[in-house]
Amino acid sequence: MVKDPDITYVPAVREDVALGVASAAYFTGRKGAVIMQNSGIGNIVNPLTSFSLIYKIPVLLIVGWRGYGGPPNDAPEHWIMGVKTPEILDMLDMPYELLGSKGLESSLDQLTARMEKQSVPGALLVRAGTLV
Amino acid sequence: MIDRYEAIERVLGHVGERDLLVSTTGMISREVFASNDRQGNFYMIGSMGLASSLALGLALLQPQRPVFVLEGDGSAMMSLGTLPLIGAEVPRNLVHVILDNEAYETTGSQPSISSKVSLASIGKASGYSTVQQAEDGHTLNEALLARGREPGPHLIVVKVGIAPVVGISRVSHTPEEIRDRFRDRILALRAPDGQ
Repeated sequence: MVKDPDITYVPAVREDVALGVASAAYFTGRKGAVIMQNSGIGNIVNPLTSFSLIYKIPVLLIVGWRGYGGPPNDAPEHWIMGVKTPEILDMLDMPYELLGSKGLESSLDQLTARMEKQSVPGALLVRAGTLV
Repeated sequence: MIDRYEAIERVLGHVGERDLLVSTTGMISREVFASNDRQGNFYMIGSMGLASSLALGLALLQPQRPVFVLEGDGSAMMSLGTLPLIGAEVPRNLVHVILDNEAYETTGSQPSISSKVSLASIGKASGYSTVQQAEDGHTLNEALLARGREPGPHLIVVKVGIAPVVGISRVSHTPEEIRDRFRDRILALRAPDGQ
């Protein structure tokens, strides 16, 4: 991905910065995406609510889902966000899909269709081991 | 030290018709809007600290077009990690202007830490190609002229006074209107006859 000439990769320092950088793609007719972990969802709630969701700028969030299902899965620092991840996305009325049995293309198609219809960011949740 | 409003007008005087400008939340966007509302302006009315990230993305995706970002010291420090990210990504066309009044003026002029910490020094350490600190209108003009002589990214820190402009209106465009006209402008400039 880093070497793919079709992808402009920026190693952002935080999730909110990543969202800001990736949102530029919308203005140039390209597609923006952020690769992050769900532990960083707290860092992007402000830019989601006071930028992406009011200007209606779609960006695909590819989110590694640590702490899925809560304890005892994963390390203690992931337990709470592991449980709350879908609840926070629901609270923000953001579309999301769990990458799972439907496969990558089907999950992505469904998610991006909803993102484009609402013109908002959406999250593809990826549990450990799904893509191995 | 000069008034922020005057500093903004001087900066806007150096923004070309085809250049892009991203301004931060609060009084700065309101003053840019009041001073010279144009299609190529993106007013980030919320998300303090995010203007520089969006401007970085725009500069990387539109390398042929000067991109200005106008924010305050509070906004710059809220997203301080963006400075070294800009230094590392080296967008030659980015002009980062920090209007440093050493205070959170929009919310009641509470003091910030930029009276004790040099944003210009942080900019140098972050790898900006040029870093200038302007203390008055003349040095600000010089700094803005200097950016045309060498490639960026450029950082200009302007020491401005706390001088609220009374009765200045909010940005009257809706967020979606700001988005659409900015996007239309960029896409029109990219069209074969828009260059």
